[in-house]
Amino acid sequence: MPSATLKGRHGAAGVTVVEQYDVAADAKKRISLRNATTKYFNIKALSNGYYILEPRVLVPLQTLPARVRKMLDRSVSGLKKGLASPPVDLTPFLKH
Amino acid sequence: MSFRLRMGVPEMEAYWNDLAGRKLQGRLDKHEEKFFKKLAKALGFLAQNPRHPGLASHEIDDLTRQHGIKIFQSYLENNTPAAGRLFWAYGPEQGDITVLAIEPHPEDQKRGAYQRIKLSALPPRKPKSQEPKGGK
Repeated sequence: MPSATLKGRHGAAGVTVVEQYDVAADAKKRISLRNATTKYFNIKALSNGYYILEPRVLVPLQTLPARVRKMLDRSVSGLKKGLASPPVDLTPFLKH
Repeated sequence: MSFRLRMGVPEMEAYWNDLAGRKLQGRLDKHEEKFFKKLAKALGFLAQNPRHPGLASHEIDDLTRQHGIKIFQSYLENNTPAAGRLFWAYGPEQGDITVLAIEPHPEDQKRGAYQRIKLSALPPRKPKSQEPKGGK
């Protein structure tokens, strides 16, 4: 059987094990990560029962297109003044 | 609980009025028709239950911090971020939801060209500064 140890996508050079522990999943099959450095992870569940957690970060605000940001800013400033359109009637557009 | 949906002023309201008006007149093109269908469905979910699983609604902390009110993002299509997203907030009155912005922007012809990923790889770590050891 091939080794299940996976190298990082960009190579495992310089990566060391900083902590190793056993955990038991709780009744809802949850486990806790100790001293997790990031809030978000991309998780791959492998067919052999392994899980790979890749740390992720939220895309910074700058990735919102400028026009969308401008539209958002104007809408928010209106909303703060109590300005918004009259309630929208969706009934003609929704299938029942 | 269902919410009253309102559009942010002035752009979002103008956009919705234009799109809805042309929909009723049957003057939307193929792409607009497809987009409007998703938009109307998402708005329907939003009005019924902003936490509807199909919307994958979540607060955007950066925008909340920047504007001082809680701003949420919802997807127009389940599991397809490229389908577009809505930005909304509660208010101005209780029981109201105001749609603040929409992506893709109506004026942008490059629909689907944006890099619409929710999460990205971690930025490279800064090398640890060389601190003198054992200097208590």
